[in-house]
Amino acid sequence: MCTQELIERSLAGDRSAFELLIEPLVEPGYRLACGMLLDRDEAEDAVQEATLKAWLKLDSFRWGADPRPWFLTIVANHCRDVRRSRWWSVLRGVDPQRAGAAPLEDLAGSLDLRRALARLPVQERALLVLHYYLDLPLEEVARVLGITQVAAKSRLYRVLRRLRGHLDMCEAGT
Amino acid sequence: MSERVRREVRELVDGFGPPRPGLAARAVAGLPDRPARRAVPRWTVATAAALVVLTGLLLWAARSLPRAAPAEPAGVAALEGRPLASVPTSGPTCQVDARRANVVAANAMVTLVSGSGVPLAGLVTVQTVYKPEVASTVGVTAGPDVSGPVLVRGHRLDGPGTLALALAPATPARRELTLGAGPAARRWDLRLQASAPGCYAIQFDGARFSEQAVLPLWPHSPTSLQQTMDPAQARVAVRAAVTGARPILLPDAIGADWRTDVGATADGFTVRYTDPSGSGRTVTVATAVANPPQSATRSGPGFHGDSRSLYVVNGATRILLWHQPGVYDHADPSYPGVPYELTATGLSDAEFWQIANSLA
Repeated sequence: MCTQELIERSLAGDRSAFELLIEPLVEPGYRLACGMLLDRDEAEDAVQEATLKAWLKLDSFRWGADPRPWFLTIVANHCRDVRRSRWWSVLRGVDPQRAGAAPLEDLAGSLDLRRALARLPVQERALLVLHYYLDLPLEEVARVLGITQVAAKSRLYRVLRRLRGHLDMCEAGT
Repeated sequence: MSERVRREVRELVDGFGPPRPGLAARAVAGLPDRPARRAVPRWTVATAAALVVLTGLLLWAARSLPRAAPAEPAGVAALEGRPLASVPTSGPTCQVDARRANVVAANAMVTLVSGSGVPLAGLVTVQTVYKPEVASTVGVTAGPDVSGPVLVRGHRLDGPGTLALALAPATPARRELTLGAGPAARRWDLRLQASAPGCYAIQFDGARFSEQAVLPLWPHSPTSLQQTMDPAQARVAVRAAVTGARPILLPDAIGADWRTDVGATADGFTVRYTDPSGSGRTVTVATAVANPPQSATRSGPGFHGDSRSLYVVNGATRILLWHQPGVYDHADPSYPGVPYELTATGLSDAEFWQIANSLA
């Protein structure tokens, strides 16, 4: 079944069609959310939340468009909202069964750069994840982040320059 | 440089591991109904638009057409016809009939039992992971024999009061919910909103069963404090904000540079500390009632003199549950004290206990 058929059936309320539509998008969405939120549980929550929003906003999906940037846009917007009001999660219980953590091994050696990445503004980290992890071309990255391609390119350049500067400082200090 | 960044971004993101299996199915399982709507091909839209431009009359006629009715899952009407059962309770403490499992403070997975007292393992289980003082979220799991719509409603057993339910975290609360159980949909988080403090029953009606879970609930308290600060400020702020629980325990053995996110109401709090290095290490202290996963390694450490305290190791997550002797406005008389939960991810056993033993 092609994407447009899945969308048509989803619009008619068919959850199984929507699941088929959304399934290949879940992992990229989760990876983007992990990169933005730096928390596995919150990333899974974000994907679930984005799925709900996608379902509710399906009417606004542009006919013939690729659903991947559309879904990633919803994920990115949700992650930004989560970062703005981090303590939405206070309003629900901690679910121990779903709790998890990133493995701690393999941090040595790249710790400085990894820390620098973690400290980047969430929007810049999203840009790096979209471009370097999900291998999206800058045109698509720009669409997901709601900026122009020129802005995405210059922002990427600035981030790389800042990271390089950070590394230089660290190396000078050691 | 960009290749190095690419490698580091990949390692950073991969470090969180893959999504848990069935994430898509879980996400889809919680979706509300969509109004039934037939998708219209693009050319039809264009043609209709042209006609509308040509004839205002057609526009008026099109706007006058009746809207499609929302899709109604088959069998829900029949389930809605069932009455809400009156569950026998004993005393003011929301204790249910001894044959039934009280889902409160059980510190274990609760399996609902049938009216005859025979456990119906594999139908619906309820896991309490809720914080009564801020909101209540319960995990509901349908067993492999359950399929089709499961109607969920609730009511107060010991006085006037209503219960609204929502699929956590974001759908609007309603008086009843329909869960579509199937091979891909077995697990839901339900957010509960009580209108008044009291003892409530949640009723699950499926094609071949009707079960109730009983638990005490309090109305949602508005969050009075929601802020990111440093650990020392958090200690002062939480003590000032929370008036319904004493003592307030927070760890001393936390780095002064850890990001500290605080949420608190008059009745309780959650403080989450995050390692600033981005390693994913977190520590959360909360006044909360929770029960841990069945599959985890458990032990009873007798923490702070609580013989029912529980220490659980589930992969990289360590959980300590106990009731701290003290004063709590919503205390359960059958298990007095302030319910506490300490959860950490990414810490070693020794690091976890160093933090636990520094709670003061």
